[in-house]
Amino acid sequence: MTNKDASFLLGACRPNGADSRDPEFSAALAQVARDPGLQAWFEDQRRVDSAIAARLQSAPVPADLRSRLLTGGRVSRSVPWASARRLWAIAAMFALFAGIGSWVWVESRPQPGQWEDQTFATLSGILSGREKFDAQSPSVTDLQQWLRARGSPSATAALPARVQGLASLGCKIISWNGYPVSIICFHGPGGELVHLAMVDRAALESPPPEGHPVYGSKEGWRTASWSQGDTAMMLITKAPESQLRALLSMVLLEFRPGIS
Amino acid sequence: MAAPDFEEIVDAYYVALYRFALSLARGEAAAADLTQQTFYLWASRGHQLREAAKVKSWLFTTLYREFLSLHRRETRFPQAGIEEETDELPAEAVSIADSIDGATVVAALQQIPEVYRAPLTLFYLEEFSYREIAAVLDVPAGTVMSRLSRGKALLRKLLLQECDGSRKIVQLPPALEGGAQ
Repeated sequence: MTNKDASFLLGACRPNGADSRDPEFSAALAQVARDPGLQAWFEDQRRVDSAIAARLQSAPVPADLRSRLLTGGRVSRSVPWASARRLWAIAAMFALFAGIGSWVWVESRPQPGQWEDQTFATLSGILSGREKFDAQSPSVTDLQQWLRARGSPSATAALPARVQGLASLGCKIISWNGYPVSIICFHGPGGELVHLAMVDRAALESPPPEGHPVYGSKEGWRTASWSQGDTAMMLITKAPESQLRALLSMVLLEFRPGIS
Repeated sequence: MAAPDFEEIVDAYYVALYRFALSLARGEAAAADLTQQTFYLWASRGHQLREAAKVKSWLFTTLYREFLSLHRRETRFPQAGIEEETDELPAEAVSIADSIDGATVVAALQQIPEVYRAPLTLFYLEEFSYREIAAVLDVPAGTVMSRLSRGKALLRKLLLQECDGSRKIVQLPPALEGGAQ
């Protein structure tokens, strides 16, 4: 092996020493040990490579990139939401909160035909990319107004300002037994993804109690259902129960009489 | 082995992926989009990959392919000899090592033709061996070595000019922008 061959080979040897035991480099490294000229070249090479690697590995990363990746939010401020980005958001949400798995309900499984079923099916469709939001906005208030303008439950008077200030992704209206069901997807205070589903209480044969949320869990998903006035509501999340309860306390904070 | 958790994967790789994307895409917004697109693809298709050990390669390969698909016009690979640079480490190596900062390195990398830039960035990120880089870029290992050799020479030339106080944008010789691998 000539020095030229050795230097060519050693040019692919990482400066952090990760390749030092690679037999591919052993002969070249042995030659470095024998040849002072080659050794000087190699030391200089290492010094420069180490400096470049250190600088590259310290290149700043956008502070919000991680959270955007995890929540599926838009990263680039220069490009509007593209369909691929929306799909990404949906897929990331799916990965985060559905655990990249099949949609199987094993606990508290609602009876077929209930509004929860249709809500879950719709969420499944959204999260897997088969269905799209009807409207998208980072503002819960905007989505509530959009729903209200279409005669769908919007909980306009029910959500306190702190909840309305949370970042939303989008909303969708589905029809169940002729009644509109509104679904708003947003991030809780801890960044967790939460869905709020609403339907006219009169549409339900057995609406959830007013003022006393009923908790449920289904294959890692957690739900809390209650009624407020004419509206039956359900929070759905994959977040820990503590987060669901914390969020619920925010939602219920300004509930009118009867909410405990 | 259980499928890796999405958040764990993001935490483990998003920084290096972003820096790889930054050198490829030549812009923070584009790099962030490229990183995001990569994780989107992971979220939508990555669950098919059951071997956790291959996640890193999958992500970097996917990011690179996404980049290429967005830049199909840059398919003309440079044809350059490798003889002249491997034995000509400049005497100014010390000045390079002591003078450069992260922004300078990224800026210099972004001026290098993509065919060298991708293996060079992966090399300096130190996440992969040259054989693994070859797998990520889907080229022979020998080609990676050649591109590293040539790419390093180009990078040092750019960095030296920067260290010499030349703040102007360094234009690469036209001959390096065309040809085939």
